[in-house]
Amino acid sequence: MKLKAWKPWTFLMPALLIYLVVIVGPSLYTLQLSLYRWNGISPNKQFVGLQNYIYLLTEDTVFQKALKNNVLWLAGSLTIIIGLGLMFALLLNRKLKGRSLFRGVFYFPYVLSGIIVALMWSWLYHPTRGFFNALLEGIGLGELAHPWLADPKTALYAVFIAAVWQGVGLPMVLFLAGLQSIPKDCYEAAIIDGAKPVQSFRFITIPLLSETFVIVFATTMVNAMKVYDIIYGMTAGGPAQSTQVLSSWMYYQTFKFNNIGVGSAISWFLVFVTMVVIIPYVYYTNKKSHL
Amino acid sequence: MEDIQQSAVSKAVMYLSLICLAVIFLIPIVFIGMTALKSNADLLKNPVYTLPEVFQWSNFAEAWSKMNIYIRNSLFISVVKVPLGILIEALAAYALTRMGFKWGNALFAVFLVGMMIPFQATLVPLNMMLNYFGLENTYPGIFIVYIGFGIPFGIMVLRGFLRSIPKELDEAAYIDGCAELGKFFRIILPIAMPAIATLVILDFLSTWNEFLLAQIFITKDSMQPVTAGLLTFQGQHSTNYTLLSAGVLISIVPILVVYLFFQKYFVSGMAGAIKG
Amino acid sequence: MKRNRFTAMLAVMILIVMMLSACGGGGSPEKNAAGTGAGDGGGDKTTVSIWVLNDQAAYLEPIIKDFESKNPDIKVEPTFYGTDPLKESLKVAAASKTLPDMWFTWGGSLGAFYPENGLTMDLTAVAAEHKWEDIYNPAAIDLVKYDGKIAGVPFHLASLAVIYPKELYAKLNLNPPATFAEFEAQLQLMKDQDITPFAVGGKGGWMLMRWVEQLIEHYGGVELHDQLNALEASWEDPAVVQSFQKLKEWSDKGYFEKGFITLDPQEAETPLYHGLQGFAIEGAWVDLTISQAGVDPSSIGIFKFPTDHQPVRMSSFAEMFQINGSSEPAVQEAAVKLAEYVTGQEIVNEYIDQYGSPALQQFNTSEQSPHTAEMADMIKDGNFLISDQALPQTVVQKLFEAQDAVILNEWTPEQAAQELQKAVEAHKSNN
Repeated sequence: MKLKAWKPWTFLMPALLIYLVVIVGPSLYTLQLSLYRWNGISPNKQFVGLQNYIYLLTEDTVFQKALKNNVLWLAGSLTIIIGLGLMFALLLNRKLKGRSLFRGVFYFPYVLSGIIVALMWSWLYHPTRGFFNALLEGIGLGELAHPWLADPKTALYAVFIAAVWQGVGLPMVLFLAGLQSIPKDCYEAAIIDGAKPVQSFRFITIPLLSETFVIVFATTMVNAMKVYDIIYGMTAGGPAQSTQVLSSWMYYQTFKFNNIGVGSAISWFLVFVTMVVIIPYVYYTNKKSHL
Repeated sequence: MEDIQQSAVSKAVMYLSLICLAVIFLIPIVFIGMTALKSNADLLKNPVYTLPEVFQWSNFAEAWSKMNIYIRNSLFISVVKVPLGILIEALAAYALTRMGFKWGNALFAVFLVGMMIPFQATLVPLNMMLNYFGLENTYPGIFIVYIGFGIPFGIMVLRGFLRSIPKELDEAAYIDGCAELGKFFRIILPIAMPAIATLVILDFLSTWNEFLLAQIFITKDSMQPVTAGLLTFQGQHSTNYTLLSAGVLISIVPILVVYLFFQKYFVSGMAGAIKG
Repeated sequence: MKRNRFTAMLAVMILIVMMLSACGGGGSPEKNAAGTGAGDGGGDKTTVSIWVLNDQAAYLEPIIKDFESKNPDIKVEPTFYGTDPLKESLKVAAASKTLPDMWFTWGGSLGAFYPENGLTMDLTAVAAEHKWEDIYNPAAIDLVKYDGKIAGVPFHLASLAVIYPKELYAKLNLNPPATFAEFEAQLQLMKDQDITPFAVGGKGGWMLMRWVEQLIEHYGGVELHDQLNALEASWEDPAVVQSFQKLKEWSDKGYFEKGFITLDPQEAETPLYHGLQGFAIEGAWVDLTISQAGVDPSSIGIFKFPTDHQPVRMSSFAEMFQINGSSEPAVQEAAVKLAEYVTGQEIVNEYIDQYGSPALQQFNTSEQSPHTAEMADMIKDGNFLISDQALPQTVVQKLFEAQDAVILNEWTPEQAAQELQKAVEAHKSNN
């Protein structure tokens, strides 16, 4: 029995070791830096306590805009991207002709790097030569044509649509994989018991997908909080910083302004927010599945 | 009778909506393809939705000639990193779920939180560390970093799947006299194939498209990955959009091949694996 | 069947791990040579590592080869980066003490980080010894100085002028304007003909900034503009407010394309090359972009923005090679040699078609880049440092935000000036 206690550690060792070295160590170093005012190199490194966090939350107006944008982005991702991903997965989990092709098509945008997605979509949104405005004019709705990316009221949403297009493949693939793990017997038994499709979805699919939901939820949340390249590519944070997000602002603070302390504080702000949401969620689903 | 009719109608509706959605999804992709076939002057003069004036197939040849070394590098990086990373992650996920490990949940939470730390925040300490060990500009250095960043996601996916495997299997294996490692390789890994396939697809993709870390830790041109190759089309004052589009289309071929090869494991499915 | 497959997989993995360790062993000695510039195994060559931009590769690669063949005892290891990746990699390398022996950087507040933190070699003595004052344009030497010390070898001296399509000018019967009022009249005239005068893409802010800084020079004059850039005068000055008012007026009159504030700069400018729009502010590098768009660069004319002040100054900036202050002396010497070779007259003349705007006093004109020499000539009257390098980067971001916010009616011109001054004060109190 004694043997057993250390055995899991041997299995965990490689992952734990690399994880500690690559993620935990540097992250703790960053946590420490977030308490300093420093340009990253000068000998003049000043301990300021929580000043950087306080500055961000009370003074830095761009940070506040960015935070709001991230929250909006997160809300949209959790509902729209996950919802569509689940819908596609359910549709394409059935037996139908060409489903591999459909899966491929919906997954395809996800393989493209953010830069080309940003490029293509900014052309689609081009105020005068763009596809969408041309389309609107073509179907007689010309008065709805709009410089989508140049208006602070629509810019973030316009970029988000591109992100949905690009991102829906990920939850779809994860859900598809999850759906495979539901034994067919479950459904067969349900049908014999006279269950309607909606019921078997509610009482079989959803509960048995709970592991998948954890994964999808966590990755979507992380992707939403870390979103960067597609926004930077399409608007560069503009107009008037209205589409700045936490990751891009962290980048600006660290690499453009040499405020390593403030940049590190943004990083850890991201980590704190995620911890607050993800850890209780994991424990909650854990408990439920053990009942 | 009515039932069959109804299902035929609903099937038709479903197909129609799927096709519509697919068309919407394909439009921007088609435009990327068209962009890749235009001349620069054509692209900048005409809207994105117009057909190329002259089809410039040579764009692909030119993009390929600039990218082939980088593609080779990326293939090497991905082919090593992805299986190695998944093996390490699978071992850990196995320990977290099937070895009666009491710190399982707490440790899992620690792994999860790491997903959130932005790459950029870790660059300086990582760079110092790699230098200290003499690993800068080496592939082992980049493997360690990539595997490190892949661990949270990989463990999360595999843990989820491993948890849903019935415990009876372990007992059966135990009775068969399997050692822990044997059980892992011979029973659990094959069953987890759909999860591993998913992970291969996603991990290959993120390794292939990774750019920031590679750019910092590999300063040798001859070793850089495909994302660095794509950057050569973007200059300080101007970007060669047509070559960039062609380059992107070339660069995603390996990702699609991996996807096509591994996606069939979704179809065979886990239920089948348990029975078989 | 399944078992076999997994044994095979395992075998492949073990093989890979073995390959890996072999790789690691082979990789390190090579890398050592690059890092320290010590021996290269095959003799005592000095190795110089250098980080540059990838669009410079077209001419730097052959130049470096020339250099190596003329200096057989020096080996050059270039790495080519995109614009943002270079900035990033340099910052990371600076913080972790892994800078290369030599690197490309812009001047002003972008390049200041390295000399200010004692990372660069002081080239003042080298410059005196090698008589740089006879070789390089004095404006360029001035722009590579920090705290009175020369921190880099001048590579490019770029200046910016207003560009316009000659064909359109001829059609409208126009000549380059001599005064600001004349320029504004031309804007209106174009607008009346249904031509959008400005070909400006505002994404990233810097292209619109080129107009704003000219407005500030116009309303504030030479002296005040310099003081503003040096953060010695208040940005709440009426001249700044007037500049933003003018920007707003231009925007409201429809002088910019619809939705231009998030358009890609390069894309937004293209119609101008084809004679469809009036003006942009560009440096001589634009010749290359124009030819790539399939247009002859000589069909584009240039003039200095009429600031109504004497001298009429151009916005300008320098690009340079900085040399690692902690590289070994032998490596530094080789790096200086390389930098002087790359920026020297002989090489510049040979590669002038691709080179961009050299920082030299004299060089040949290029047929493919007709505006290089023309602009180099224009700058002789005077220049000011371009805003995104003259100002601290936090203030630069605020300026970009202010431009957009004024155009979008989110801030009044007065508010914009106030916000800028706030950013200036915040910068001062932090440093």
